[in-house]
Amino acid sequence: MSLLEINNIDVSYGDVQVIFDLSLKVEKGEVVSIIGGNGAGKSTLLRAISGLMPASSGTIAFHGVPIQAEPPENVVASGIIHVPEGRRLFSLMSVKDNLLVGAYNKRANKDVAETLKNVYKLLPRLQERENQIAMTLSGGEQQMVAIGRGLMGQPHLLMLDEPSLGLAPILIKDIFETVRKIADQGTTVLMVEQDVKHSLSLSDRGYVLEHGRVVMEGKAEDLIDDPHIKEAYLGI
Amino acid sequence: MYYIIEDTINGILMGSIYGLTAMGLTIIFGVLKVVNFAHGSMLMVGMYLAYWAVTLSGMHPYLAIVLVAPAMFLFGYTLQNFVIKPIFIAEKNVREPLTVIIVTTGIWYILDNLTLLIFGPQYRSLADNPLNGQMLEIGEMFISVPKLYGCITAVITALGVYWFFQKTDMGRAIRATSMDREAASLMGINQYKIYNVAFGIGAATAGIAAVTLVPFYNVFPTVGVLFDIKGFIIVVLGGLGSIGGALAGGIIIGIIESVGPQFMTATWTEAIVYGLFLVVLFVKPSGLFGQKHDW
Repeated sequence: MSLLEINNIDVSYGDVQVIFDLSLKVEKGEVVSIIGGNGAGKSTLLRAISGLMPASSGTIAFHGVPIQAEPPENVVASGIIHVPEGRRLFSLMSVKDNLLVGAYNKRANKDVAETLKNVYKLLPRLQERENQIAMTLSGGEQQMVAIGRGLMGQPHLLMLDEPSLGLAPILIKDIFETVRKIADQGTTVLMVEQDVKHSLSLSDRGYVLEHGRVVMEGKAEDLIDDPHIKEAYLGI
Repeated sequence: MYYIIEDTINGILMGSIYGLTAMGLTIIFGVLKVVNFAHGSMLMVGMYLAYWAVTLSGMHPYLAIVLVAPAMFLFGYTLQNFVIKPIFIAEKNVREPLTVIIVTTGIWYILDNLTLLIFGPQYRSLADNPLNGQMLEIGEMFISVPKLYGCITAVITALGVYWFFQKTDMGRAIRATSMDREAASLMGINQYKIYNVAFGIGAATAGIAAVTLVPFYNVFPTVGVLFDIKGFIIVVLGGLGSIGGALAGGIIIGIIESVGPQFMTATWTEAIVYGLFLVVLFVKPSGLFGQKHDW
């Protein structure tokens, strides 16, 4: 049984269908990248999984339990944490308060002090800035807070939506290194990215989305060498 | 000169009670992003509760807080859960659903008229309570004791609510929801439960305000309307969503109302209050203590 198993889902914004008959699997301990251009449906897929935009048909199972009809708070409780696109920090709250809100769910709330210590160990910059208002941080630091806030929820599956968005190349490297560290500590990661080269190079597997459909899937190293991907996404 | 100091002090005392009556309005707006037009009526319900609790049991008027605040919390929580929440769910994609305002207006009319039906239009007051007409004499100045108690209660309530929002998990979840509902739900927060709690807290502060008013203020079915309009001005003046701002806005209005009559006809103070309100709207629309950000 896969950790996350999506079978034939359709997702629509009103009358506009964005995802068509999509199936996908994530095994425990994997890092899986979903790549694709703007409007391919990558973010929508994550929103469907986390319950923000329920799929109109198909099934999503986590630990074998169907979650496609659950509201976001129940999905969080089951262990899927979605770090949304654009960070979406609680801008007028301190860094520490942002992290503490991340541990709101019952499961994570029990050992919040311990988790906070681990997050600070992984992202020491956050401890230096713990009393600063989130809004006043730089983009890279804000992304770190967003990831840290996600980790505070003790995810079994961490979903990252474009963590490198809008960051300088040097910071992008930092972010991907952090993601790698999180994965090495045993958290399964499902990542949506436009930075195809970086995300595939740290992933185990990848899916390529075009117009709301999976057009290609496979081992990350195979995808990197694929001529179609080279041409369409890497510009080589 | 003494008069001015005396009036200023009494203005601050009464003003902080105004602030307390408006505090729930600002809390509810801060989280739900809708103006609760039934807030004055919730204050009125609290006043009747306090009045009857004190009259029937003969307890000290301030002891009624123990009963009125939790009762009003439950009242607000239930009202939001059964009457307002369905509208929020129906208008899920609207950030500031106008229909909720219409519903709260309906609640206002129903509560006021139900009270009129049950208790009649007459004014009631706690004539023989131990605080009635009590004055504190400092030199040549007279300070109203029930208002002094009210002021202390207002400050303690504001500090308590502030502490709750800053230091508890539920408080942080409420603040998070007020800033970004969707991101909050990704943290596992059920936004509708947060709305219930925020509405309950708002109603409870109205209940506390009611208890501070009852020892020196008449209770009648439309008493809430007087505080409603003042409340709106106070929260806009102080900054919608700001607890300290509500207190500060209340105190500003209290001082104007109390010191103003020394220099002009009392009715002119209203003109100053509304004038100041307009100036603040023009110069600093987010209010004196409001934080400027996209809701």
